[in-house]
Amino acid sequence: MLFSSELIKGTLKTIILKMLSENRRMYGYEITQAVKEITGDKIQIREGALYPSLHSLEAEGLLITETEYIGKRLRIYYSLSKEGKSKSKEKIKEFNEFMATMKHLLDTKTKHALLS
Amino acid sequence: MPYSLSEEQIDYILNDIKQRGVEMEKLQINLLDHVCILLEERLKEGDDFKKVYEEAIKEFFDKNLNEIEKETKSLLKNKHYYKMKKVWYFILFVSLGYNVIMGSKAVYKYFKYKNEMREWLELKETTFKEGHTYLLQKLKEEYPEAKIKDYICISFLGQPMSDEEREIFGLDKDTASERQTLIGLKQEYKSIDSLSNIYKNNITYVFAFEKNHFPFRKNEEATDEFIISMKQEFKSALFLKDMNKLMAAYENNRKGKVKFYPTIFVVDRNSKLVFDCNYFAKQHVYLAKFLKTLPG
Repeated sequence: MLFSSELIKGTLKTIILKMLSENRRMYGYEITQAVKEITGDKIQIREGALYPSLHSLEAEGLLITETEYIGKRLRIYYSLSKEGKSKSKEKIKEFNEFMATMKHLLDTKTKHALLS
Repeated sequence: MPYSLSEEQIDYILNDIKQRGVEMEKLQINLLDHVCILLEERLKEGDDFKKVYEEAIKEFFDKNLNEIEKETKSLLKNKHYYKMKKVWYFILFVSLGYNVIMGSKAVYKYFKYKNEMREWLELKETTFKEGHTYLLQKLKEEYPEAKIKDYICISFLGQPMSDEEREIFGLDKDTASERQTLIGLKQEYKSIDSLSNIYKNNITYVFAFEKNHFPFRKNEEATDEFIISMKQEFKSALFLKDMNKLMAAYENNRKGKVKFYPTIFVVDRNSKLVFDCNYFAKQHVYLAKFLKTLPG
């Protein structure tokens, strides 16, 4: 099952921060491939969503970039800034709590819970 | 062997990305790199490059490639708001810090002068016997005919005036080096003289000099010459040279209380030091304040 892009959109920044917290630096394509591989193709990040998020995180000061020549073209590597490192921990923790809450919400029989 | 794109092919892709409406340079680099990797994975020898490229680039968007740029810009717009917020906080922080520093400086200055005034008030109770005796003796030697009044005001100048003082006395604001010239020094004595004319108190004004007076440094002749020219200008004041001993007596008297030489001080008939002030405490201003309190 491939998750919908709507579902991924809200979590993309957390995914990027998580990937970069475990790798010193990554470029766009590398991030998409790593996520694809880890999730067994279930999460496929689209270019149209990835790059706007990367630019936005950079503008927030959470990411820093390095540009290098790869043969005849340029490649932009992304890594976490000092602020980005602490923010990534925070975001991952928040997301874990969110997932636990969602699980609890979905597992509970709402009607029953309200009555008891 | 993996497929390697030629320079022409890379240029072709970059131009195409630009033509599809992507203007942000960084985003152009992102997309060019991304699509190049895809192509190098997919292309095989003999494939139609443009056909494979068209298929690959179409995966990037729903309608147009520039929708990525639009999305990026819309996210950045929000970020700018936060960035500006940070800048405003920074400005606020800096201005607050500046105000705190300037405020404490003003408070410090206020207490510093207040303390100096208090020291002077404390001094009213002390005596200056040793110095006073020496002073009277020197006056008798130099000016046997002169009638010494109830108070003696000794001006022992040689330090430059502050800008604030200069303004009070309507003097030009000179540079520090110029202030240390003879003209500057004369202007200071002139200020004391003008005060003596304003406040007609029962005071004998003495302009005192060291043997080698500042700013002449180690030149006794220059000090003498200066005194002669001063005598012609200020007829009412008395001039005393070689007053190092007087200053030593003063220092003895004020031991531990003043760090600097006094520039102006006043002694009464009973050898009481009733006023003293140094350069750092706006001498002329305080002298004027003091003269106001004396009976006319």
